[in-house]
Amino acid sequence: MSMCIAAAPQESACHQHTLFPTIMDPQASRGPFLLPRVVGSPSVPASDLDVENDLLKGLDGIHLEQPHVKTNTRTSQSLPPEILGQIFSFATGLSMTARSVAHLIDLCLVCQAWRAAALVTHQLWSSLEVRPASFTQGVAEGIERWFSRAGTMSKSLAIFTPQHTYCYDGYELGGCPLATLAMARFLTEGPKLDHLSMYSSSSECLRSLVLGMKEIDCEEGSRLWDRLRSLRFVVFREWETFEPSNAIFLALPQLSSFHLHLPASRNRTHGRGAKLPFTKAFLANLTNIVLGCNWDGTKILPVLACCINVESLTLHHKSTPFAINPLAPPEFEQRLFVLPNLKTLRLRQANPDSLDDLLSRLQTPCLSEVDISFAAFGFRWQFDGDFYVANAFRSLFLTADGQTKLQRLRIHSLNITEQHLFSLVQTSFGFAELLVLDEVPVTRTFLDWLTLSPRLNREYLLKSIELRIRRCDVDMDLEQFLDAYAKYAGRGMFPKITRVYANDEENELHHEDDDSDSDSSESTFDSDEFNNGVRETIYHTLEHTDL
Amino acid sequence: MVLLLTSDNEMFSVAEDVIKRSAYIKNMLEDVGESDLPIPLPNVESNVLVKILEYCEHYRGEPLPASDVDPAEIGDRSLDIADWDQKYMAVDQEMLFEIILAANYLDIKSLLDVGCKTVAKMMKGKSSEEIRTLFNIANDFTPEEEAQIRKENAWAECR
Repeated sequence: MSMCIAAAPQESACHQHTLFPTIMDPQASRGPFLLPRVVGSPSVPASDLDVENDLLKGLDGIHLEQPHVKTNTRTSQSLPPEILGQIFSFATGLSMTARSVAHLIDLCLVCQAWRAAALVTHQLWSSLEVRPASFTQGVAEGIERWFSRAGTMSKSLAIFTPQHTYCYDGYELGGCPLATLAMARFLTEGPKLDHLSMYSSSSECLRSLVLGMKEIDCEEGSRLWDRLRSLRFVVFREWETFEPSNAIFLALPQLSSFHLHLPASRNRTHGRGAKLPFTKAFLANLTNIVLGCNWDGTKILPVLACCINVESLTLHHKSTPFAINPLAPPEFEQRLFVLPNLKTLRLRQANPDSLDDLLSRLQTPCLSEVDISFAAFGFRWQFDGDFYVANAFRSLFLTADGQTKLQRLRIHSLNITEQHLFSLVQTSFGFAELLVLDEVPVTRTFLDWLTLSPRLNREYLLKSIELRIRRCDVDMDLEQFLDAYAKYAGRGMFPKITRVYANDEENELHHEDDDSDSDSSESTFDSDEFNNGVRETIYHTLEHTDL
Repeated sequence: MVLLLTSDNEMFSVAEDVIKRSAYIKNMLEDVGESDLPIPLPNVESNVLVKILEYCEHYRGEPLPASDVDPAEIGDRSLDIADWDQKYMAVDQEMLFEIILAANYLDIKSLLDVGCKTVAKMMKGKSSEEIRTLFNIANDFTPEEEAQIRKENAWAECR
């Protein structure tokens, strides 16, 4: 034994008296398993229950295999089902995508004991993504069987339907892969879900579906659909902007979390003729809203203003300016939109030119986190003229009457000059505790400035900085820099640099929450990525914080 | 110092702040208080305990996980493993499973996660047959059972 913490093994008496005699009890000695032992779900159909009971008997055998004193070589089969379940959870990943479903089925086919362990690990069966060629009765039954193994856990389903072009106004139920009678029945009479994601080509699929659900005889309020707590609609090709969308909006259940992603509008008016006819009661109930929509701000801001209880707001700008319709009433120009409970604001594919137009109109007294990504498709924003971003943050700060004290401000993928970066960082000193600069070009001059700037002193709120940089941008030894910086920070006059991620490769920009709804073909729409984190987030808050 | 008695009757004297990474030992010490009597670890052999202590020593001083975390909560599900942990886990399969079992018994969640991730990574992209070969597991399904399971899940494989 060479470790300092452990002295050489000492001789010990064979029958030494100990303080903990109960530990020698065979049951107690099994130790504290990480997961509580679980039993079959009461909702499992009879045939499945029989199977599961048999499997549980097999599990008891696995428990008993654990010896107190090692006599056999350890193999994977000596692992108790709780640990196997834990391993399977890691193996299948965050959310049960089509790929991980196939992997889980493979794991179940290894041996009886592994299948038994998987079947009693409810967490594995609590989320599912399906990509059916068409939503048939067989798919509905399969999904129901899947979720029956999840016990009482929150359940999350994502349905991704293939691209098709034949949905149009008036198309009847059954004509499209998503809007089938089986799907309408599933959403009406199926198992209770907590979260549902639907990805489709056209709003017409959704319209047909909600109209189809109305035709199914079911007691008001008892439908699965009405009991959803979280819903995500992603329409990635065609959004009918007039009458048909009303049917969708008016059929929405009372949710706490809603994600609507609309295809990017190509014309200059950015959805000027379109409406988002949510009811006020629906919006007031939301605590989390994600809106992927590049319509002009005259449409978006009044919707947000009704979200009086929203705590987390994510807006996808789709790299278009947050424009205000010049024909909007003059009072609109002056109006502040108050979000009294907003704690987290995320902007994705933000356009830096018009950031101030948005932030200067929001009043957010409870805001604690702002996370803005400027990553766009295939390019970086370049600034030659005025710098708007720091001004935008100042606006946000000022409109909150100085109440805004952010715990975290993250800027992602902003290509700006040193001078502008100085301005941005200086702006954040006064109202953010943690500044995260992620894929923002950090130069040697900037680092020198950061180290030596006399502007950093105790009066500022900023306590720490995280940097995620590309090493090729920095012509200096980062270790050397950090050592030098630590000397200054140690005097307590500087924010600590708590973490530095450096990437040696000049990779493509990392796009956060890509929404390939634009000119890209369906094949580039990565719903695995898009849906990433469903299982984890649904578990706690029913919110999608994977953005 | 805390005395630990392994299943093969070897005694270890370990600094308290090192072994407190084990929630099991930590709770025991808190419940019982100071004592010069050894804590028996009937499920852990000395060679495995040495390895466990190496882990605890490496993370000595790092914050301990909060004790009020619901064990059923899902934490980090990614397969990312820190460099040091990867090297630490570069052991034969028998030791790997011993570490996992000991981490579970001693309730060292971070180590258990690393062990489970290591096994999960080993299985990544492998078919059931390849996994059986990897871990030397006998296929105890009849061909009919196997076909039935595949048939039951065929709906999920529609693309």
